[in-house]
Amino acid sequence: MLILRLDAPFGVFRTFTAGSFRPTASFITPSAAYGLLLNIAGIEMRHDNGKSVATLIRPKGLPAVDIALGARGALPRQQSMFQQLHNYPVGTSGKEHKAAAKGNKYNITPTRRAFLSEIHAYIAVRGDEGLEEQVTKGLSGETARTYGLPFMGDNSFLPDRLEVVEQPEPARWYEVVDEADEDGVREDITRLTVIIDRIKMENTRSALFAPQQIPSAEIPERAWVRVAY
Amino acid sequence: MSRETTQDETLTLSYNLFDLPTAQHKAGLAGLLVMIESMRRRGLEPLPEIVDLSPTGVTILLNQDSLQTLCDDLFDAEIIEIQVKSKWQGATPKETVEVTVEQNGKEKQEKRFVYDILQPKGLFLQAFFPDNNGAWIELWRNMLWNVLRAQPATRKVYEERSRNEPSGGAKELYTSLVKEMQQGQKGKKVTESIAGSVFIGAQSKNAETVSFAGVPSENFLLHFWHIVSLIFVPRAFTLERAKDKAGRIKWQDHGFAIVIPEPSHLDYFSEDIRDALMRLETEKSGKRPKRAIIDLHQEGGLEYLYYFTRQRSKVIDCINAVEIYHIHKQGNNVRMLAAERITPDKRILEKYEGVRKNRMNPLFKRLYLDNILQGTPWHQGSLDIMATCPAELLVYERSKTPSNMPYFSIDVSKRLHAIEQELQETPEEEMNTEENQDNLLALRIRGLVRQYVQRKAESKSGLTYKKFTKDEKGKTIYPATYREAVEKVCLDAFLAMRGRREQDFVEYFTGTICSVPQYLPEDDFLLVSQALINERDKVKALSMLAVSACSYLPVNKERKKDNKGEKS
Repeated sequence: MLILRLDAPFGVFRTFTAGSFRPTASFITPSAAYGLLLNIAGIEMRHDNGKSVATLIRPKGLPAVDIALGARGALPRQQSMFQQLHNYPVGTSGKEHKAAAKGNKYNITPTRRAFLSEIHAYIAVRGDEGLEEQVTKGLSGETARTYGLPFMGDNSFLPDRLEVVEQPEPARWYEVVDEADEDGVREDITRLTVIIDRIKMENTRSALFAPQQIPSAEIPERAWVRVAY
Repeated sequence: MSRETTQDETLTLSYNLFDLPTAQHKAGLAGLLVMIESMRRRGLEPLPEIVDLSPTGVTILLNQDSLQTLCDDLFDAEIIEIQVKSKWQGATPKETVEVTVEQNGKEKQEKRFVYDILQPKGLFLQAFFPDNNGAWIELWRNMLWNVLRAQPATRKVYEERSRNEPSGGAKELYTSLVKEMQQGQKGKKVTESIAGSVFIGAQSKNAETVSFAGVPSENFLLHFWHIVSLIFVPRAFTLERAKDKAGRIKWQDHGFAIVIPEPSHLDYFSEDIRDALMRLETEKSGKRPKRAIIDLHQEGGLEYLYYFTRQRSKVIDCINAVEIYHIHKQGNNVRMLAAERITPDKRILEKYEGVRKNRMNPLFKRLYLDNILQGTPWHQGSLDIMATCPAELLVYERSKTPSNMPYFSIDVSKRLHAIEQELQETPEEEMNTEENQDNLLALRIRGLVRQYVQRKAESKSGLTYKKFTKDEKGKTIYPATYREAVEKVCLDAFLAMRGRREQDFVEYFTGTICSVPQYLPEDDFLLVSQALINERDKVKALSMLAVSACSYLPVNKERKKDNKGEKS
């Protein structure tokens, strides 16, 4: 098992969305944490089949791991701001710009984008010692990097701190909620994506999670979720 | 997850609540159960059969006939005749009529243009709403036509039902579900696109040109989420200033806030939502249900959850969260302005219960509710309001402050009064918490500001506060000249504070507010002076709020006649 401490002033973890408001999940998602780990380890998860506009996920050879997420201190706060969004327009509007954009998004539209502030998290991973070693090496600069900088869902949001910890401080680990609770509902329940399919929305899988009410130094078994492509 | 098999043309749809991908799907499953119950009560048949209903799942048996009954009722519509004051652009009225209207006690004739319009019946909701075909169903229809079915092409399902034809949607749904089942038996997965008319936020493709798609048995549920959702109308206002008299507030609807629940316990929820719908408050404000009019979109989520706190000993045990979508039709575009998720929190809902009892100033309500939801001090963010809103909306001025909106000053004053009472009941050992120290600071600053305003107003009016008489209830009777002086002093202080930042503000506070004799015990002096050094913005916010609170003096009954337009 490997535990990373992550601190970031801002981050964003988008759900599958369209339109003028871009929401974010309320915490780093297992799918985003997985992508971050692979980025650090220098494992290429992108795949170009030459047909799709969106970048796909490599169909084979990606490590299958269990991931657990914990919040240190207060949960992140959600903020929003207006921003110019680059996209591919619906219909034929702006088609004269298409050629000049050389395949890039050729439309600009004002949108309101939600993001998180003050992210203080632990990312725990188990189930693939090879990956754990590669992540450790990646953090100490011993792996050749094929990606850019690790970022928090948006390439303008960078982490302040990302390091391996031996023993985490007590944290509120996000536990999977998969049954009705007769004693009332858990507080701060949120939906986090576990695996994503960049081209087929129906294959993206999410689950409900709730942070523990009392911080714990031990990772509860219900916090582990399988991320496998 | 859903699974279908056929037995004598019957489809078996099995759903597990926790396998469904979004709140809209989960609410759709609950909505389907409520819809079937509504149809059962109205004696419709054949009905889909509900078997194995458990807290987390249900199995539904349906065939082509029961699906037809379901869709016929879901999309049922009629053509009705309406009369409007102005002609509609690009539409010819079927006739023009003269009607008699009463205005200022006089009757007069006015022209009305008559049009036929298509109107969804929503009988499945009318079966639960206490006002049947009243304001709540009208609001649902407005939302349908302005959000989900804003594009006329999406209304065909209703048009065919208005002609009493069987819904063509039933056949399409049945074909899709059978195809999913047949392909599933071969190990293949069938997906279909998700239309924006059934899924909030869906477009044909996202910004990366990826389609919104899902499996037919899950897409099927998306037709029903609106049955267990509630619609609210966030309103905005503009100040219309008038020469030589107080301005007026003009209210405008600002789209719809759609509150979609994410049930956690299917059978409890299906029961509780029916009860909640039946107990909706029917009092109207204009043509809208009064309780549907809100000042910020999150209020809709809190209002929805409030209905559930009335069940089962005030513990919400069947909803994980509510999702709130603020959507506004702008021209031909339907834009999502905000999306939010609120989880049931007993402490927040208790505070909200207090808020909904009183009619509040919308600016103060936004500030207060936002901070309740964020868990931040009640005044956080008030500097933004102070810096951007017209002063007459924040500081009471009899000649300028609009009277058709509750006063900001009164709400601030009430909040400070509530804090005072809370602190009086707080044990000494709990006084050092951050929240209590923050509240204590607010009270001490209010004390300093009040003393300054009182002394200055006495000096301006030539009257002495201590000599004011009291009415039979023990309330002080303020002479008109003193009131005017207070308003003037408060406005001057408010504007002086608003225009100053950081050290300039500190100098104003110490040099002006503290220029009159002030009595502060040593501990309180330290509290205020340390805040002036370390938390200047907080002191500024609390000072401006205190000025606002001091600007309004309560009106006695016998004085009301002389103060027409004021509120006690």
